[in-house]
Amino acid sequence: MTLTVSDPLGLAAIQAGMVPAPLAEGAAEGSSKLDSQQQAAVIGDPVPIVFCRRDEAAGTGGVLISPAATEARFSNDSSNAVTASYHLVLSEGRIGSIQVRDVFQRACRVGSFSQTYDRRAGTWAPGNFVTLQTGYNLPDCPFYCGSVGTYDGMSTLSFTNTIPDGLDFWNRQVHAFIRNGMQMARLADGVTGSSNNFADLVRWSLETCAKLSASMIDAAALLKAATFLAANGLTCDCNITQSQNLGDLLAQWAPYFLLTETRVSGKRGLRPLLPANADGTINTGPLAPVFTFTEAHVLPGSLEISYVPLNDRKPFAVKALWRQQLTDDFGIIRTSEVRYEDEAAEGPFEQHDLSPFCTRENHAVKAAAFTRARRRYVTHSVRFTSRPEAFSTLVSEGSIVRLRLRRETSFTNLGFHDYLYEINRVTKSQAGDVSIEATHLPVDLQGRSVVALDVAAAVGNGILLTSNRTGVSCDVNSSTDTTVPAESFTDAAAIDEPVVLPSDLGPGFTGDFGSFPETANPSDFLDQGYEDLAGAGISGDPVEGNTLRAPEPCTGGTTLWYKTDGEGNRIIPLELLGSGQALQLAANGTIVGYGVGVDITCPGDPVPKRVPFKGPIAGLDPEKAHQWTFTFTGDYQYASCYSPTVPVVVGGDNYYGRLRTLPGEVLWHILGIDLYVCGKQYYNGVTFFKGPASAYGSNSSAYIAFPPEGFLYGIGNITNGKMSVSVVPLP
Amino acid sequence: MGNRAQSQYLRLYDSAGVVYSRWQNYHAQRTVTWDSQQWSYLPFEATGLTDGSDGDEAGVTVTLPALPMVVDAALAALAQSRLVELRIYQFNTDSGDLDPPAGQLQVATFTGELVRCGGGLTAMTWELGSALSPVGASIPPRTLTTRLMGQGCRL
Repeated sequence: MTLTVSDPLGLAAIQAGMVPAPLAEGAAEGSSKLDSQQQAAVIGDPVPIVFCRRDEAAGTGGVLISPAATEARFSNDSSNAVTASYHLVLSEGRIGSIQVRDVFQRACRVGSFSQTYDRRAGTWAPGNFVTLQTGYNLPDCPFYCGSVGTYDGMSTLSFTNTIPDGLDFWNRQVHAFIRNGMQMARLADGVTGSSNNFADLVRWSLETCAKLSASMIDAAALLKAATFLAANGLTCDCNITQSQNLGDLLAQWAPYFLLTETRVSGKRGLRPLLPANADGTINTGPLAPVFTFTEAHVLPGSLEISYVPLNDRKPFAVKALWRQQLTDDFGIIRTSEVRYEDEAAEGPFEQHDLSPFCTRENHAVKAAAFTRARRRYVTHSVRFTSRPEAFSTLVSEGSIVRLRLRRETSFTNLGFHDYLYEINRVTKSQAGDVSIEATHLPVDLQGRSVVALDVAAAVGNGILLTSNRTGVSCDVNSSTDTTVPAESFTDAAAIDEPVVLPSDLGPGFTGDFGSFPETANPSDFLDQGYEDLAGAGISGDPVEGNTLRAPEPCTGGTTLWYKTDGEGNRIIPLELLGSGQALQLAANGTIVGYGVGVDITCPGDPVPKRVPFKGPIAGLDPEKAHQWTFTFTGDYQYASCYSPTVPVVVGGDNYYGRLRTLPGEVLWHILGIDLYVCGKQYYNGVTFFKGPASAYGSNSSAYIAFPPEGFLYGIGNITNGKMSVSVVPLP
Repeated sequence: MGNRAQSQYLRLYDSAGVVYSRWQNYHAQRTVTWDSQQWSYLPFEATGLTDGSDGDEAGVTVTLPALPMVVDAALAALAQSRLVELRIYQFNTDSGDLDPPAGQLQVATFTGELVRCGGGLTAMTWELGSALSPVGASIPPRTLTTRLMGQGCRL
């Protein structure tokens, strides 16, 4: 199977906003259904986030919410008027105080309420206390009214209203206009309070939803974004009730705030999509690239250019939906249409729903203008690779750079590819080369961003509509009543407390759960390897004459030694070398260059365990093979022989047995001794002085040679025959 | 023209600023001093570092020898959400200094969590990043529970 992946450079155009994402056009999300049945919260529903900040002077901001009820209480009096109380979850965190004029049931300012934070609002107990009143029908009120919760960390509201007999308005949805939403530390001024700055919401989300460490959040970039938003009047007044992925939300909303997500040095942040001045305003002046890339920097053959296809360049009009938020009435969904003159008067139209968060006409118009201008002027994106240079520390994501390369396709008609770009992605490899993806930044003859110019100049019509409310008002409370009712609450005992597991992991815990605490290495016969009988493991290749000991994977097993070639392959037909745990290698040269292997058959297992072979086996050093060390052991009668004997193996006429001192002994003290080989005296009164005088130290290598025959038994003093040495082969 | 070389420095620390490991991959078998700190040698290798406009940019992959101390560091980082900082420096090798030259330039840096690791008995791979997974990064972050809202009414 072959998987074909499209050119990622094509994605750059989408990421840069030059190619639209598929839009699902529908009714404005910011609209509210006023006359509907009161919704009940269900366990598992998200705790909503009300994020807004009302600008009373400008008459913008705030959001109407329709909170779900978690508890209810119903009762009736002798006139069968039903008093309904609902406990409502407003928002995560603490929100601003709600005024009397801002609470509705249906479209009417009715009832009384109490707001609180971090606990249950109101003092009533949930339940159905409706009774049959004489002369009336029993009101059909719900029976399952809930129980009291703790409401930790959230804002809640208790609402109570009494409805006369014959009406069922007691079951209608309660609405609240929130002028100032969830409080948090604001980036722009550092004050904790309600905010309508999208950058604040992003930072709060990264910290609270994604649980990112502060060092993984680009606070500086977020502050710049916050400044940009504040300077250009791009505000966010929203009520997030549906759970969604944070990344999806940011990707969907950020472009409507003329921002893009960034990830620089691993830190997440936001960046304006338009050039901005230090004060956050849109930069409509000439742009200065931070670096100019030429043939001196761009690696040959690395440049790729991807032009925006025709489908995405055709004229169209943008319809932006936004929400005009009245001071003393429900908001109105508005439409702002943006197009270039002399084009797309009859469409096609592209609808963008900003109504969930946008309450300013100019905001909607600028977002629409940006969408249209970007796709009118931006023609292509590029990717190229550059060798490392001084720009390595100058150029980063979002930088404006110039790319000037000469087209040499003829001798006389040279051209240039010379544009400004905004960098979308920089990849620095370990090899040092730098891969850059960038989007065309169209400029006019003065070097000003034409997209920035169009967006900065785009303003709305400035027409504000009235509520268009007609008929007899159903308000009981005044539309100008700005008082805040007293706070009442109930402290509830929690049920279904979390099951908390102990986390005392003891000292020295490093995070390695499940690591076996026993530090001793378990028995592993492969790890045991071969040993010699002296107890020291043979780490290298064995030497002929060594005595090997096989590992013991089991008790009562049978061990079979066999001969292999130098690479561990068995000699065929099988050439057995012995059985039993120990094997002494022959020292006659017959196994030199070969190896040995062991099969160990354990009781109850017909298949032998095969121990990795040992080899190839080295031959004895012809010089070392005929050298012995000796130590004085006291008087010795040379007429007797040692037992066992030490074989004297010689390699030819040119080799002779040699006697050497052990380290620490002084050879020249041994004077006038006799050397016997196989009981035969070869030298009388031999002086062991051999070699240079400098070699007569404690580690002297002086030696005495004797004929290549027989067995060496020992040496003795010629004078009295009482001095003796033991003789062992050199290791 | 000098000879350009790159070195990489890796630091493990936690949100409280406690540093657990400092490694560098250029000055073989030497513990060098840089940025007023000691950096021991570890032959690791990191892929390219990307800064981008996409919030879901790929993270960084680091290949390290599976030394016991490296494995322990990885397990602790995963268990305790420790942070990893990777820096890339460029410098001129003409001086032949065994220690980091004073003029080396930091050309890239990356800070992330150890989001995934694996490997064998000789080498292991660390993936650094900060994925906003659908599970861990939903907005709103909390949901209603029995403890928070009681049994709930049915209307």
